[in-house]
Amino acid sequence: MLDLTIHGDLRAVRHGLDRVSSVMVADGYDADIRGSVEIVLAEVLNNIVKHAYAGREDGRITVKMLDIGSALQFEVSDTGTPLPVKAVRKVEFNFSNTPVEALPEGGFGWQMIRKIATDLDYRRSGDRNWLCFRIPFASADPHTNCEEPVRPRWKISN
Amino acid sequence: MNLAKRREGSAIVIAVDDARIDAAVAIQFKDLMRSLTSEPAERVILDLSKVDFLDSSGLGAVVASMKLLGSARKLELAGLTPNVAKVFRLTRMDSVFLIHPGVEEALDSGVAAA
Repeated sequence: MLDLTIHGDLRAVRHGLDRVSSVMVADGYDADIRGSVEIVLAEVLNNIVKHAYAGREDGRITVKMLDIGSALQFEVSDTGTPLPVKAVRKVEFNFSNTPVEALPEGGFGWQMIRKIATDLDYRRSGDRNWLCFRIPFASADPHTNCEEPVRPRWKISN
Repeated sequence: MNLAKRREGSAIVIAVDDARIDAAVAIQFKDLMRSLTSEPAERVILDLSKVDFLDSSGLGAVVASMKLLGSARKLELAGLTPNVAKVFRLTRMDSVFLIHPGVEEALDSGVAAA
């Protein structure tokens, strides 16, 4: 339902997210699923720009979105550096006793991706990164999604 | 990136006049917050009612802005739209900030930052 190629820079990511959002509005998806898609896709794309393409200006990112009935399925690919597995490790933050000066200013991106998206699958093929994931429709409480029993083919350590 | 500052008694209210605080403007946001919060004030309230979208970089910049205030004042937030509230919830940052429904409620509450 959507096949998009964008430049690997932060402004282009904004335009890409706008495009996805417009398509979803036109196709009648509600604000909740559009919000979840925007959160996850923004993190995935920004990570590619900032880390996989770090500084490179000729990078391209392709995004494919498909409605599979129970979820929206995404396939994102780029030709940047490989995704380090440690970047996506599952960290559950708890800040209740953390002094303000010790609060983290980063590391939130993958935390949000892992909480909303299911069926995360990463592959490196030749010089290309492929990241696939799903965003389920019945996500009244996104917190339950990170405990989905479906295991990714690409083992992510907990 | 546009931030508008006004005084309300002992408080400073900073309204974000942009729909997005994201990776493209996070550094600019932090720099603006640094200069706008340099004057003394008992409370600093950030009005996010016009912000539709906040990503992890934007969230990091909001956290960094709170750190700039030092340990005596907390950054208070007001007017979170649904998707922005979701980002705070998902990252557990809703437990770190004092969050008010809107600026009026924040000022009425008269709560000095903990």
